[in-house]
Amino acid sequence: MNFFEQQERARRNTGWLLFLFTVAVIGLGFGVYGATMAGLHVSRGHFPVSGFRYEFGTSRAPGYRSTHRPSPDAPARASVPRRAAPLGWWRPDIFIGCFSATLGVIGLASLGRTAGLRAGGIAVAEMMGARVVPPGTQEVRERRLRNVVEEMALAASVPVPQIFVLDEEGGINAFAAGHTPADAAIVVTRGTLEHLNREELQGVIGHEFSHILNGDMRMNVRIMGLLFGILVIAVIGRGLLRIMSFGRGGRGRGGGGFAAFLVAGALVTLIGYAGLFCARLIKAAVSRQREYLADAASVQFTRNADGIAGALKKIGGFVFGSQVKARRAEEASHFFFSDAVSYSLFSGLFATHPPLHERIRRVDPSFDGHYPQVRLLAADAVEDGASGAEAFEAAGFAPAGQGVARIATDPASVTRLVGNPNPDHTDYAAALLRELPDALREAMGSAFSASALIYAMLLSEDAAVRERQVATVRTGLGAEMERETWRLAAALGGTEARWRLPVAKLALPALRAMTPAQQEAFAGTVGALITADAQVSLFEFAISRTLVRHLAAGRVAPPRATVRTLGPVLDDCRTLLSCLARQGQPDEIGAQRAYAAGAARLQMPTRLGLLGSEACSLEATGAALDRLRTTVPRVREQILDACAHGVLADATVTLEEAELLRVVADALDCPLPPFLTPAA
Amino acid sequence: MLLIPLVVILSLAVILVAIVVGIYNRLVTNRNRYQNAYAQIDVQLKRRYDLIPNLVETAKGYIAHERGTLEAVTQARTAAVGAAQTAAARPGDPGAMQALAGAEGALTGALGRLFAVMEAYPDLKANQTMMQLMEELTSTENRIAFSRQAFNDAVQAYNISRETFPAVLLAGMFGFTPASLLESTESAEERKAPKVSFSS
Repeated sequence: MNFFEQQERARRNTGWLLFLFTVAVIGLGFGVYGATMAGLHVSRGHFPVSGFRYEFGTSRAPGYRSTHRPSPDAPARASVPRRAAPLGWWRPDIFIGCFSATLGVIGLASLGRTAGLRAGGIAVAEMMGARVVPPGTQEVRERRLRNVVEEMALAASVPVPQIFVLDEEGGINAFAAGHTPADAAIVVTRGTLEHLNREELQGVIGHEFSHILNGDMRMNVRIMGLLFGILVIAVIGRGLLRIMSFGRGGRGRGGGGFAAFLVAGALVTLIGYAGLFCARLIKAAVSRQREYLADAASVQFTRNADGIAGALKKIGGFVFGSQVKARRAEEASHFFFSDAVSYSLFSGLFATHPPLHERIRRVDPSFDGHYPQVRLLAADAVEDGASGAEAFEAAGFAPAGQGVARIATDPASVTRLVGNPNPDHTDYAAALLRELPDALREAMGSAFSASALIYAMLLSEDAAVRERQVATVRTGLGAEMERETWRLAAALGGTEARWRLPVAKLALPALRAMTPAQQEAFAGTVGALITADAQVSLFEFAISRTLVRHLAAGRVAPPRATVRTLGPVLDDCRTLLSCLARQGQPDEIGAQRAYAAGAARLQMPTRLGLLGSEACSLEATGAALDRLRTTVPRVREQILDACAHGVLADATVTLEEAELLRVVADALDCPLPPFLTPAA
Repeated sequence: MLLIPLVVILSLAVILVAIVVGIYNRLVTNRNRYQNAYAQIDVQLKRRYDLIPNLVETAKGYIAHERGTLEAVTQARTAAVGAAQTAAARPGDPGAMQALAGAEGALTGALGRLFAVMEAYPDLKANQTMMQLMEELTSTENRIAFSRQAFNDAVQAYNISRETFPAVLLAGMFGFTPASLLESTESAEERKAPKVSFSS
């Protein structure tokens, strides 16, 4: 599954979704018009409703008007419309009125909902009333969940999502929400925490990460926003009916309009259910196939299919299944791992997920249709996943701390690896986590120490510069922060390049817990630390930019991808490739060669050659990266391919260079899994 | 003829419903936010309470005769654990927050007296375990202070959103009660709120 193809397909599907939605809105517009016309006809007595024979403006027997004296030769007609012209069934003015009202209501509601969801996955989780799982949690099951999510995030090289639990839900279910991996949130139900073992948990989380990686998540949030407009009509109809049923008592016989309201209410409710029908159809059309894909991806990420197969089987055998009872479940039903709302009559057609037995059979062909009995796992049955790390070593990879290792990676395979971690990466991540020094691991449990950790990472080697940097921390944030920074700098001392990116990613959940004011202070301190050290490397610069960008992800909308070809961004590519070449190669000839390797992949015109060192400043590179992020996935694939050739083409590739490539990939929103070094 | 008033009433009804739903959502989100912010404090509080028995045990080896001081610490810790549990169940509840601040203050006071006593025992102060524990304790207290800023910010945001018009009309109906800040319990050391400025 090519990551970039997936992203392109997700974008195309958005067009498909909008088309279906437009069709639904038009249909509903006609429906509302029909309802209004029917209501008007009823109120004119064309279709007398039993017990409600009446006419406008009079309570007397039908056929009489107070001011009307029938001429002797005019036959008395039981139902005389007041207007001279007959009502008919086509009235352009009423049609326009109804249509615009419908459009207005749906449009407003959808816009409102989409705006509310703009803050990203965390907003969705908070709106559903989910409880956050703090980074430093000590509760055994939650810690296990955290470990699984962190492993997966490190393996796939995405920022660690915020983790939430739905405490009131006993069913087994989970979902991931957000616009981009940076503002993603993973929500699991309490039932998932309690009933799944570690392998099955990994299967479910892998499935969710697949959604995060291939753009499903963003689509889901869009669906939620758009379809809310359609669902709101049903809500209004029901509200109308409720109001009418309250008011019926005192009305007496006064209301011709009253009956119109009643009929209108009933019909609007019907239309609302038609809207519900449309909404579920749309969701089903767009999101069902993805579930099979996500199941397959989950098998690809972990080492076995037993995890996700086991989870699905447990859902089948569990009395609550995967039901989620919260009010908001219907809106978010497509988000979930398995069907969250039980569909009574039309379940086959409108389920947002494929049938359970079909999903199981696709990942585990030996399934015999028999679901296991699900019992509550004892709390001490929780094991903490040492198996991943051992499998990693058994597969012949070097454990951490093997000194400067040589990377032997074919540059052409880099773009294939993006967004496609395999079980080796997951095991590597597990090993990495296990070997992370305790002090560092523990520091990631709270915002205070996590920010001190980042400051410590940015401290210079030069003692004088270091003093200046620490003074900045002291004046800006106080003596306690300075002390913590020193403490963690001591713990960090001597760790190699390989740790830096994982540490930055792992620290994110704690950093997100800061208030906007605290985050601004953090960004400011990071910037100050970088400028204090004139020798800061591209690596550190890119990491800190990444961090600040990921932190702001919830508040700042992601840049829209507008640039469809390489042409407009060739200059930025030149800047980026030049900078990478100069970073990686100490001498001019080597830099030229590296640049040429990368430029050749982009078929860069010869007039755009390697830039001089002065032109390769950090600011220029930063600006170039920002502009390159506005390209479509297809173009980004080419850019990343060129960078990979530039960095990896020569014979000696150090871990540092490889990590630099990963950091650049991250800055382009392309999650590149860790490079694995074969044991020498 | 009845169509126009009908349309007008319907539109007004829709707009009203939309406004109410928007207000409700915002209140729910803000409340959830401060509750989640409290969870971060709770984690660090638990860590602090876990450190204290070790501290007392290590100190007992050297100053066993100062029973009163050690006892006071242990008792204050138990009380604080209880207050923290209540607070975790009802974050933002004024009574719970006040009780927690009080219990934490008592614990800090008891610890302070213990440290004062320890001044007279340089062997104890130089003990490796003791030094490590004190270091971790300080670190934990710093973290609590930092997270408390975030919690209080979130509580304020919630209270503001609850008290502005028109939410103030609906908050009571929906059951959104005012939330209370968690007061500082530390000594003057912590009350020196770090200033955040980069104008220098």
